[in-house]
Amino acid sequence: MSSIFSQATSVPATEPAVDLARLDRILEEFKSVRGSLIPILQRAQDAYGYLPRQVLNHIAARTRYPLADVYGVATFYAQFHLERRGKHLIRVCDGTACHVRGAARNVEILEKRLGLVPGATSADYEYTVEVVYCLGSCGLAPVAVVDNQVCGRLTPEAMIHHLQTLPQSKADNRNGNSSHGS
Amino acid sequence: MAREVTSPAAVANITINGRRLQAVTGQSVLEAATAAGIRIPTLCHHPRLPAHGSCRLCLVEIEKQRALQPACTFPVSEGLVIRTETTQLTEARRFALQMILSERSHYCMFCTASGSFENTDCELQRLSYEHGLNCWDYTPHYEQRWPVDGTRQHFVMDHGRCILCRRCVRACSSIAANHTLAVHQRGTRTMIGADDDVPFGRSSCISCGSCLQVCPTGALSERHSAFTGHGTDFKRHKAVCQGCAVGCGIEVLVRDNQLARIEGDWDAANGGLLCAAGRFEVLQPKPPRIRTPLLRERGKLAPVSWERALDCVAEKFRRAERVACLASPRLTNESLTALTLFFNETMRTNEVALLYGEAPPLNIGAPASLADVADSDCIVVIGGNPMEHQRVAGYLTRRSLDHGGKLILVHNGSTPLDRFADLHLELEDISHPGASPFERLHATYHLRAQSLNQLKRMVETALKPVVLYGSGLSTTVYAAMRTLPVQARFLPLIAGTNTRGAVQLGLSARPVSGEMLYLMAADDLPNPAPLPNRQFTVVHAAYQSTWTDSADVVFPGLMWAEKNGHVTNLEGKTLEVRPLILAPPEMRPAWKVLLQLSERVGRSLTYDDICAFAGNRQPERSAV
Repeated sequence: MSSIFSQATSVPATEPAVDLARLDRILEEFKSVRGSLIPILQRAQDAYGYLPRQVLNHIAARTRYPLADVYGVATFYAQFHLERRGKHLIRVCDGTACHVRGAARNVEILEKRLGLVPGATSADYEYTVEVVYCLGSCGLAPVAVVDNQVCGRLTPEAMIHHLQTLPQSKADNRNGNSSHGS
Repeated sequence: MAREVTSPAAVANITINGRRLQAVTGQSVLEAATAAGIRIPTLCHHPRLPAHGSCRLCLVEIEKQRALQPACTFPVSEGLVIRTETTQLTEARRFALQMILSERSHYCMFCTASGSFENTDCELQRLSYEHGLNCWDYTPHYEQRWPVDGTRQHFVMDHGRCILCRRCVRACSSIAANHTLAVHQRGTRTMIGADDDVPFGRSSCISCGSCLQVCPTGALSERHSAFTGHGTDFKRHKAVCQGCAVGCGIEVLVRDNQLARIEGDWDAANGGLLCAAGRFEVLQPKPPRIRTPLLRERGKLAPVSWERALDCVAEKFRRAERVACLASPRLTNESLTALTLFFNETMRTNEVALLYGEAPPLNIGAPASLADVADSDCIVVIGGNPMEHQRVAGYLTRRSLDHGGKLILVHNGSTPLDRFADLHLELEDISHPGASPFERLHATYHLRAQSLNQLKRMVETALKPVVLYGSGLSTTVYAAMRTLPVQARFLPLIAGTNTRGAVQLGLSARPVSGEMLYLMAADDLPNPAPLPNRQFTVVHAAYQSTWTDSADVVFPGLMWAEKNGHVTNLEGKTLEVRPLILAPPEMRPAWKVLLQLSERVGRSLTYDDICAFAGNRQPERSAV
């Protein structure tokens, strides 16, 4: 298991085999509902943490939505992710207020400590780092949201502290079970 | 595309550019203007595709509307006052064009599509000329590289020339009903993609080329005709595709007596839709042509005059006990008529058959047209694979499914239609074992009574059922089809371009016997099975092949685009086939050679004899 201070690379591993039984249960629920592609994708992402190719293919095969449309919708909306994401999601705001109050330093420390540029996921699927533009908490600038917890008036030191207090997953938990609303 | 009109008499009085007009409520402003002869510039719009309204070229001023409105999506209602040519509109259109041009690398001088003339390949360039755009207001990012996808065999996608008008996407879904293309990503990263963003050549694309035909720029370009000329350099001829029994309407672009490109005829029954075979494969390189008559002397084929070759064949035929004839189903009704007359009357033999080509019984019930297939709410495909052998009929079947139609598949093995089937029934092989390959043509498949009843129950609930049925089914199955409800329409899945015309002349695919063989190969190429060895073989063919290599006499024949006559398609429609290019000087049509042979054999036929049977009359005639 990698500690948060080891250098993690941002190259995603090949997709693990996906258990499609969970998806089948979701599809069964929406069987007779027209116009249900987005809810299906949302539920599938809740189940798998992201939308693996196999899941998109299976949705197209089981519904009559063409694969091209399933993929089109999944890539249109920012809420859907086609690559496996980390267990912990760190969203650093770089909106105007946070930007002038030094958000760049918080992004920098993540890059330094986790080796993750914005948008990247660590090789052990522990962390995903995102830069977002305004979280609506400009009074707390600079701000970041770590696993749905708002961290205001953030300094690089405070950022490290927040990372260290995150619960660590077991080494064998590699199935990407976690999900994060966005 | 015509919008649905709520009531047939819903006429609306509108004004366009001060002209008072009557239009249909609910149709688009663009349609109303076009009908009145008023041109509104368009780019993303295509009259055969659902309106999309994304390019902002067809903007018009409509009184009481806050902003400029796209004419292609704005519905006509009573009292609309519309202006299509104002300074504000010209500016708005120029701006839209500038934005489109700035987005990707529209470098016209390196593009095969040209827009400099009326009959244009590139609508973007033409509109730019029209709007006087001679410089960039917004400089494109030339440093940005856009991918070029050349993974499809017959046409190439250059994303740099794509304007994201979605015509290709709409054609792929509404014309081909294949749904391979969609818009992927969003914003500045928006791309036209296939399936889950795989290269086109590895996607579910069927290469029907519908997207290519509607693309308004050089984003999609065909390999065969690329850089061979601009739109105006080609002559366009309406013609009939002779690739299979569907007989699709095509438009052939010809330059310097060469076939350059084939497009689907929008006005024909196929409505612009073609398959890869009819649009592209037909233009692929062929074996060398047979250019003069050839005669085998001292074991080698050597060029001779027509006189010499005809004399030699006539001499052999006069002394022959029995001459057999095999004919390609790609021949015209006229040639097939001449052939049956020559062999039945002049040669007094009944050993005349088709080389291949299967047709099921034609008198099952009310005939279906191709339009009925696309419009059906329940399609039965029994004993055939239209997705392979009558592809456009297969694509139209898929189109009916998009409108909520049901699909009943009755066949063994797998076809691309399988995943759409609401009911899948298996056939049982009841042909006698150990049959020779030729007899296997007539393999018999049976559908058990229980399954037949299941099929019947489903068809009974449909309003417009269409049955696509193949050959080789048991008599019980055909009999059962005759008892389907009266609203059912039937379309035979016939193999071979003009097999239906041949069947009406009493021909069928069967083995023939005789010590001499006359093979009318037309522009067919041999299937792997070699011909049985005969004492003397005459081959009338357009191309060199193993058939002509083993022949004793070879006559040079015409290829499809040089023929003149008629073919009968699977619907039973007689379609006129006209020459699109000039044949090389020595080529003669099959019927003409047979007339000349008949003179030499001694019981001569005349041109009138052939016309009496062929022409546009039903060439129905039982075998002697």
